[in-house]
Amino acid sequence: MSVKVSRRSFLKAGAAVTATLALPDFVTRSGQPLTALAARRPPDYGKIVDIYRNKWTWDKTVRGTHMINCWYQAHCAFDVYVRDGIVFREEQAADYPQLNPDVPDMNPRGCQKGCSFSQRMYEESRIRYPLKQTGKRGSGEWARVSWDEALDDIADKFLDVIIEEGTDRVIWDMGPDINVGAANAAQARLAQLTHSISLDSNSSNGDAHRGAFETFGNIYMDRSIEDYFYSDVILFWGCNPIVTSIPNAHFFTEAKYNGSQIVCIAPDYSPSAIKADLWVPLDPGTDAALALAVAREIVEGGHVDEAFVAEQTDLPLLVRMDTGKLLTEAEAKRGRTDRFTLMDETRGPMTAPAKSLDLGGLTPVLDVDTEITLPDRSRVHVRSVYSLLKDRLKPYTFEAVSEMTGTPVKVIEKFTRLCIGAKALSNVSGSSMNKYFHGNLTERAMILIWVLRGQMGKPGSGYSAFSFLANDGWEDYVSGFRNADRAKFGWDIGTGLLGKLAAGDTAEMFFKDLGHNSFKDIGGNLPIWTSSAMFWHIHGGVMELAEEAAQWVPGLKKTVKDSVVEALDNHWVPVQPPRGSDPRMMFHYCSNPLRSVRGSQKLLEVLWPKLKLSVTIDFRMSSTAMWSDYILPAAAWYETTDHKWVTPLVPFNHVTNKAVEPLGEAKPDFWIFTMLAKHMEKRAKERGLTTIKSHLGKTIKLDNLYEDMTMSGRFLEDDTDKAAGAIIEASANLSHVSWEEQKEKGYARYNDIGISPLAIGNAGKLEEGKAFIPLTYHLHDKYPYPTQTRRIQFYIDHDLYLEHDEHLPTYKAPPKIGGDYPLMMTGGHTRWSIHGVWRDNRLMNRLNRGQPYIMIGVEDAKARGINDGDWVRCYNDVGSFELRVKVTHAMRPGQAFMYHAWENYQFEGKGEPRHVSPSPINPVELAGDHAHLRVGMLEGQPNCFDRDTRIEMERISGPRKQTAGLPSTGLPEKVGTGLPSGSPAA
Amino acid sequence: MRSIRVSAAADYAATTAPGWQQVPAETVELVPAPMEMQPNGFIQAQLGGREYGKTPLIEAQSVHDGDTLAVRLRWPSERPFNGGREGFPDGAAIAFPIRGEPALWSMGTDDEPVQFIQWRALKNEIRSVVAWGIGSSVPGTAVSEAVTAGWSQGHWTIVMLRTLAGGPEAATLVAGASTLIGFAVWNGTNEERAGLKAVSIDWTPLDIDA
Amino acid sequence: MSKRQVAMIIDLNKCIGCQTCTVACKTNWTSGEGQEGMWFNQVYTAPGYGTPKNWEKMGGGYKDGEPQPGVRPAQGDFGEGFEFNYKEALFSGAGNEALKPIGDEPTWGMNWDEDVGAGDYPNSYFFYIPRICNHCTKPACMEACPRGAIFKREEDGIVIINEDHCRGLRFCQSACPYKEIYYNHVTGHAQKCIFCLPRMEQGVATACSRQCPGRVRFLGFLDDEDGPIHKLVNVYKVALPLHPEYETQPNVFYIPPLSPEKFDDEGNPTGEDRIPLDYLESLFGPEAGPALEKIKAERAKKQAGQDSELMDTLISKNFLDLFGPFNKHPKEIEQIAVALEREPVYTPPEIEITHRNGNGGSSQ
Repeated sequence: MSVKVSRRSFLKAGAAVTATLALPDFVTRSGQPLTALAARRPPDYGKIVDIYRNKWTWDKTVRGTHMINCWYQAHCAFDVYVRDGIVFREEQAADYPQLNPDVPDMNPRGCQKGCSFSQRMYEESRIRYPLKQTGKRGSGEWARVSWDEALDDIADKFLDVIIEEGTDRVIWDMGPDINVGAANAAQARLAQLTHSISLDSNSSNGDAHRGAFETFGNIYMDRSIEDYFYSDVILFWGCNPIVTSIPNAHFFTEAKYNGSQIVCIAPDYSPSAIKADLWVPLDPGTDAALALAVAREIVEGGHVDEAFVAEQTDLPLLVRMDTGKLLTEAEAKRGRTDRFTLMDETRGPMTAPAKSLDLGGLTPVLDVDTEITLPDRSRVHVRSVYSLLKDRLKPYTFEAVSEMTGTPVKVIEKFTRLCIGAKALSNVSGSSMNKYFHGNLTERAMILIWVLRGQMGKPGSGYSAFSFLANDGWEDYVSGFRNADRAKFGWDIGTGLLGKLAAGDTAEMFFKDLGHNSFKDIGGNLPIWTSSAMFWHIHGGVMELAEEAAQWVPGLKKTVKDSVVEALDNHWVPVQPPRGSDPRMMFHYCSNPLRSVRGSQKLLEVLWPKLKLSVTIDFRMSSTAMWSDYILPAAAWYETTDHKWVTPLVPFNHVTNKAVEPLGEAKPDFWIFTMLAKHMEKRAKERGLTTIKSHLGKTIKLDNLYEDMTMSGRFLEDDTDKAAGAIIEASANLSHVSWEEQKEKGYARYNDIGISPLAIGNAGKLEEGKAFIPLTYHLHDKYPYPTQTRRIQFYIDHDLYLEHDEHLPTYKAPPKIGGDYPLMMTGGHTRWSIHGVWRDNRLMNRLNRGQPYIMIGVEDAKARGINDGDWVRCYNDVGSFELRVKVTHAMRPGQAFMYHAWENYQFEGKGEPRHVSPSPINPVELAGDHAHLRVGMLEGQPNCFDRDTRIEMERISGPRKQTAGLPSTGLPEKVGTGLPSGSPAA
Repeated sequence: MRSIRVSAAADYAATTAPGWQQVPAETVELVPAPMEMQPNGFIQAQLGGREYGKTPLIEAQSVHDGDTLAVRLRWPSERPFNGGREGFPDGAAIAFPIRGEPALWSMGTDDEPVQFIQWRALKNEIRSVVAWGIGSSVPGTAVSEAVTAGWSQGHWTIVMLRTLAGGPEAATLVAGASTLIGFAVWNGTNEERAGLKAVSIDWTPLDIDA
Repeated sequence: MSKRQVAMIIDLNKCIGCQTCTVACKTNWTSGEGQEGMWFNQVYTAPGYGTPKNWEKMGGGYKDGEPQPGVRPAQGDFGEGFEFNYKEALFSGAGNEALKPIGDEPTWGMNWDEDVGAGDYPNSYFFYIPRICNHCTKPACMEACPRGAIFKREEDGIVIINEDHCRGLRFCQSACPYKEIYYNHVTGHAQKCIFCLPRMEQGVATACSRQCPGRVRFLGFLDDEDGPIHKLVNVYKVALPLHPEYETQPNVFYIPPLSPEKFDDEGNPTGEDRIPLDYLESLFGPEAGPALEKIKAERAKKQAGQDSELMDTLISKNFLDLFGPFNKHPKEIEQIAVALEREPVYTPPEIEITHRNGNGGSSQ
């Protein structure tokens, strides 16, 4: 019977219980009510809510932030949650004030990396104790040593090097943790007191905005994020803000709802492109052509803001057609060689005003092409820059540019109409264009659009270049607050500079000269900085990779090496230590050159053997730390108190407070640098050393180093907090809010751009309740620009520029760097890490693919027989690397996209993506000895490039099965017989 | 079936204990717990026509020593499976009425609960639960329990031990008296759990020797 | 039917796919053992398989009121919580071993098809869809549980699993058409989004909402006529449920995405959205088209310098306006003391340095 029942029940499979009729008879026989079939529910959901309530309990919270260079995103105030002495989570403070009722507030601020730093800081890759590599470099044979042992040994080697070979043989390489706060001040002070050399990493990062530098004499110009709400057309060009400016991104999506139109110009359909109204796809590296098409239409269509360009730019200035040089006052009517000439409507050739942009009574003629008589009665053919530019633009018709860019004419037309029709046109600061060999030309061409239209200095309009804002008390601290009357100037100033103010130079020019001065190899007062690009090329051997550059870059008249040597011989772009003097000791202060330097494969081969000691100071194991002799464990950002530079986008100083004790024996950076000074003084005394001369002949007091370092005990090794506060109190642009208040709140709005060489170029007013707009001191108040002509300058008459036909903006096709291969490898910052810092974090990797990947389009993959997830080898003439592939619909045919900052140790085999990017220096960027083409803080240095890199890729295999280290997941197929242990058949 | 009086039930703890050779085995026919018994439409819908509860029979033997009762179960199982990380383990259960004579299929009623002693291959553990109806089972009064299990030649064999003494939420067994026993088997490989099982539709009388 | 129902709106025009919501949820609720690959909140790139992989093809829910068969997703469909070979890769010598997930090489993960999208270049298209448990008005999981272990709260409609009563039978996983229920193989329980109940009950917005840098999420009671939820769902009808055809009546709603204009065969701009409407209709039902038209019309008003309450609501200049009554700062609240013992905070193990140069092993 029961068998019958069960058969019947199968026939009824899927039917719900309907009536007793459907029930097997034994059910009805049992006389049980049907309700017995309904599940008996427990009374309620039990203690589960308590379990979750329990997860949301904490002992305390403190305000914190992350001492990392996340640049455009920087920074975000967090509440750091502590339980049982461990930071178990963090959450955005989200209590920033709204600037004014027109604009959204900036809350909550903070990305997924910031929201999980607690997971990052306790990661297995964390460095907890001082480690000494006892085997050969890279052997991984680490011994835990005491701080005393490590610091004594490092101090001794430091002393040996500076005594035997000179103070400039010790190099400080600063990574993304450089904070312009106490930690970084201690490093800078120790470098200054020992006259050792710090690398300016901006140039090797490829972030130097050379085009803005050539045009404005300054790269520092960005707006506050709210300003986009006043833009009616916003251009994402050479940037990917949806990925790289996560906390700021809502201003764009909200501005779009508010009526702004967003245009994204990019080869790939990027995460930022998806938010645009119009996406302008183009071949990578052809952006200059697109910009020049717009510029041409502005000129040909009569859309030039003539009053604006006449006052603010060099377009009315006259150029001698015989020499190609700007006509100086000295030539035109006897006078200064640093004053230039324009053609007044009625009065003929006149000296352009220099102390102010105000034209006074002058009415410059824009379009000049004529002969004039010079005082020596000679006749010379002169043309205005405008007249030359008009000719220069002629070839860039929509049709011609469509050929150059691969962008349909109608798209270029629409884009042009949007740019010209915009009431307030803005762009978003990004660094992608700098990473092209001809990025300087691209940026100059882009700037033309804004300048020709007079789209500058109004709410929502203007060109954004390099984004940086810092306190201006930092240099005071570094200098030891010496000499009250010069306290604001901080560094050891040459009297000649003071004189310049009287001569009508602006404070901006003055402080930029301070920056310049700290790079000079001769006649400088304080050359403690040097260009990292030059350092890696010359001392790191990267230059050797560029031997074939002539084949890659059409029109190169010299080898890269010859160009570099010429620049060095002319003292245009100095390098420390000088060529021929080897660096002997390097401190990698959270820096990671073996990962980050393009062509880094040369460093181990050329640079490392020169080093008597390589010391990494970091809280995590980096690709470079693996090859260091020592790793000194730094405190993580919730384990110390300090503050951090930001950008005008979010003009708030941000503070992190010590939430917990450093893990293991980790120590705050400030402690490490101060204690190194202490050990150097101690060892110097023990070795009977007193003073030595630096490579500049300055006296270095070795037996008094700790005394000097601490300013006679004012800031001892444990005084990070006190030192950070002293910097704030010395900062004219931050001291309006007390340090204690800033720590409590976590942030404070800057009240001024300040005079730091790292910020003064923004040249605008930070006003309460108003969005910040850069350059208004020039645009409204008529202060001259720090350029040769004291104007926005499109004509560069330096011989190198004339020689390379770059005296005016132009388009040059991207060179085939690395050889003639079909795929152009572009890239950019990733969502999943800030530089390398989160690359080894399991949580971020779980949200990613867990391994490095390179992206290519569907067609390119098909053509190569490559499937998503496959392993490929990417190669060109200089190197190769292996990784997995992500096949996407978003990539342009011929484009391969490599997100940056995977650690070398995440790649199988030897190669990594930097190894295919030889990054030859662009010779025009070596120009120096010029009114404004000079090396300065983060600017005026030659760049490193990678975007022009050409590669091919070939399939190696599909996804690989693991051979060892199986996880104990208990997956069925791994359970074997599935027998309980101890059972007979097991 | 009958639970034979022996001197020490502990001697029968191993599935391979020689003593079991002398104990008569009762073969009980099992059928799939009827579809209509599944407590909701989703379970019925998910199953579609998929077969389950196809373990055709179970062999049961029992001995006791006045304090401890041992039950040896043996049933066919093609592939033993402990469920691993994500699957469902093989399992078996015996049931006793705690009072009265509730219908076995409905897992007891409000006044007449049923005690189940369930074995799962996952950790090779047993637990005693009490049920007042389908889906209502919760941990019952702990009766001291033990289990050994083994798989060989296409069969699971397990031995469950429990004290005769019970409690408010565990059946009390009395030497010399008769009670009822029921059986269920879950085939983990076939994702059987909860109501997806092979069951003995009705109680089997169990005579416990004096 | 609960007395009141909390609801969430997710604006896909604002979502930037950063997964901060995912991480916020993770550090709040799922850092325990067995939860390595568990995401009460996920974001995926659409079109795409989503997570669990191919979830839209896994069945469950209702059709014409009838329960539908469903597939029980495996952990692999959600993506494993990768563990890494830190010691071998980082502390055993450069080039010894690459840092990578332990076990077979991953071929899937929660965000595996990030930014992959669809469409032939240059008409490529994609957008991001964040998902959580929809706390449905008619929860299939609740009906499917043979043990009645799933509850829908009277006071706010939040759906909660009683883990004491849950036996890990996982019928709920098959029944939920959104596949938002996970199985914790360590505790043997089904677990899912709790709509941040401990936060919400204290007037603090859910972690995924308050921590969203894109300001994507709105919160409130459906019946609160002054709140943004009611306005966007019932008045302007621009917030739509995901897959309404599953008939569970989700209480999470979505603002459908605008997109850059499509190019014709010559690559010329056409003025039409590049995301095919039929795809959006397949996600959000027939109301997707009208909702997009409404958004465009109101945006055009803004471009013409006129006012638009809809645009102002979507912008929500004041961050806290997004959250209706759930606008408290976490620091304002009283921590609720519970009887349970507080679970220890998990931190990864310390790696043992064994160096082959005398001195024996030393700990790092």
